[in-house]
Amino acid sequence: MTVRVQDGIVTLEGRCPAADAESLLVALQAHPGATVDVAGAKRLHMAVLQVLLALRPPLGGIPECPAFAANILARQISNGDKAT
Amino acid sequence: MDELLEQFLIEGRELVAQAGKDLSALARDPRDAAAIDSAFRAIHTLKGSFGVFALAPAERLLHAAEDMLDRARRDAGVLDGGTVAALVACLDQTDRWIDDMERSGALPDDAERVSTASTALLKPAASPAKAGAEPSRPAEWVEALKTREADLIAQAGAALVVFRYAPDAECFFRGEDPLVVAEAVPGLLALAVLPTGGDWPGAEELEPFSCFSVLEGLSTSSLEEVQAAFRMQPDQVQLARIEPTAAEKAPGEARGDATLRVDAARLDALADGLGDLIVAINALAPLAAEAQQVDRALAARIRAAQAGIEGVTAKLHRNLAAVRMVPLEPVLRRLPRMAREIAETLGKRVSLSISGEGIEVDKQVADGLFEPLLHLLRNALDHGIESPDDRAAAGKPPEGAVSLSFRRDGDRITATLRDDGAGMDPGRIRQAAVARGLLAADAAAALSEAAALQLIFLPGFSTAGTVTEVSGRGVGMDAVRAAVEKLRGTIEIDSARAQGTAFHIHLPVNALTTRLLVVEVAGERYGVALDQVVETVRVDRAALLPVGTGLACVLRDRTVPVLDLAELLDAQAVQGDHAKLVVTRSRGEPVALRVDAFAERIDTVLRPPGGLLASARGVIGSALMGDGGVLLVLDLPELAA
Repeated sequence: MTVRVQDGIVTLEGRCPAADAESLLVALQAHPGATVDVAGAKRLHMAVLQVLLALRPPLGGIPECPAFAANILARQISNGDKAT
Repeated sequence: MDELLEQFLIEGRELVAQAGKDLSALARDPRDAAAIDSAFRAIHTLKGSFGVFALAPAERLLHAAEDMLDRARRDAGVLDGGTVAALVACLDQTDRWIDDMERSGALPDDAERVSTASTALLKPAASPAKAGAEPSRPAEWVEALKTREADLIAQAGAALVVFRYAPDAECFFRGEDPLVVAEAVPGLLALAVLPTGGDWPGAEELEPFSCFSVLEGLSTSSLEEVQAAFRMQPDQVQLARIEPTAAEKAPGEARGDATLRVDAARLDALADGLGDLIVAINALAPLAAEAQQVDRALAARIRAAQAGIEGVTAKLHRNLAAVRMVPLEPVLRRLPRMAREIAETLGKRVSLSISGEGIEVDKQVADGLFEPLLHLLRNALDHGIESPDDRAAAGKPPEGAVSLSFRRDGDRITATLRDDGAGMDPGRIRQAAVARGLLAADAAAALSEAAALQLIFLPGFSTAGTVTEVSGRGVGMDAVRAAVEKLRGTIEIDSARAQGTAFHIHLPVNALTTRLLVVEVAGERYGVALDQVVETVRVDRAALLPVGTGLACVLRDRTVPVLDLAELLDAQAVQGDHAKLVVTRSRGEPVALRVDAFAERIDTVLRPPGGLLASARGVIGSALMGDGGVLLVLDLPELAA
């Protein structure tokens, strides 16, 4: 189980496969406004990432996965404005 | 030239060639799925390339072609002979526009009209509603990305590649992770994930297993490397090169680029330098010989050092030659289109097939080959291939077949242009040559059939009753032969009445250094290019037989005319007991040239004749010798002619 909900915080851990997108969506629909803690995520599948980008929940931490290194994606996901 | 434009010209032509190949496969089998797919990708990318320059007429036309191929991908019944021909016409038009871009940097004034007319040929595909619905014109996303990543682009200070990767909605079901694909792009500088439709879906309408993102990024790698990262998704990605916004561009700083594009002039300078080195090494041999007189051990050491330097230089030479080797294919790209255009003006039908175009030759050879080949092609279409009616009467298929094939044979390549047309008539050629005063009637009659065919290479020769628009442009076959000989090549004709004609062009693969045989004539030393020498023989003086006013000898059961090189050079011939002959080929026939002695063979750089030498007959150039002297290099076929 890589998506856990506890005390109003959604936690993503380890390698999050495409299937986690649905779990994450369900969790965010059940707890609107919940913070998503991604600090322990080693890898986010595109399906999971696009849920985060679409719903923009407040994020805790920065995932370890390569796409978030340095300039890449980190800027986009941390600053609140939608890049369109 | 603007680097972006230069890149466009290179890539555009590559893509046209690829699509052209695919379309000719489709002409044979309109249901060839692999060819449909490949043509679709090439046209799609081509559209993107034109998009970078915002060339709307070209984009519209290519979009219509892309649309048709896209429908063919889903329903193989879409294509037939007519639609493939329309696609070929569309591609030919695109190719002409690329030529226009090269000439003037813009499309011609009639581009709008031509685009509309050509698009109409692809009618069912060109529904305007569909064309307008294209989500994002490439040029727009590039502009948006440049604005978004302006800081990074300015910092980079070098050309970058931008990509837009739009995975299809179902990709997750196939186990794909577009993020992994995009992360694998080499030299990734920035990556942005954007909603496909312009807005992210809300929680209610969000479909978690459908990909609704587009990935756009920026890379420091080359276009080819970025393209390679998306090799599994070629039709989902658009690429473009962008120039640095900051003016200062550090020269020589190849930011992680594995390939380097170098101005050909720099390579030529390197080749010249290497040539001088080879010449300098040639000075060691006489030095060793001199040392031999006083100290044999020292001479041996000099020779050993010479062998070492020669070994390393030879390796360097091979490496440099390899760098200069280019495949013939890019040079030949325009030929199929030109063949179609020429055939159309002549009211003939023709198919051109090319094989062996992957063979690599020295750049100089590749560049020099286009003009003579084009001229031979024009001739084959104009004079060789008959009109459809004549062909039908002769029991041939209405479409003429012209093939261009390349074969490598050691250090030489042979290009053969063969047509299945009417063939050449030696009798008519003899008559025409006599009528034009090129030679006397009895001389013409004495020529063998093969030699009679060679008459077409004489300046001022043309057998066509009327000068046609196509091949009557004031350049005759003599220009073809001159162009081939400039590359130190030879040309042969092989023709059979009613069956067709083949021209064989033999060329050296390497053009950097020339192997020369040094000969002595009347006390002077001259060089002759070894590739002009068929053989060298020593015969007894008695073996030279007087024939008419000249001499001849029998070599391999064949009577070969013997000319005195000294006389040809206006010098006094030295008579000895033995005759030393250099046999060469002039107008396809062997001719022996008598010299006083054969000296060494050397590898050297031939310098083209300049100044006074340029107008001297029978001189190909000069070579600098190890001792600082200059060796005049003779053009044997021209002297013997």
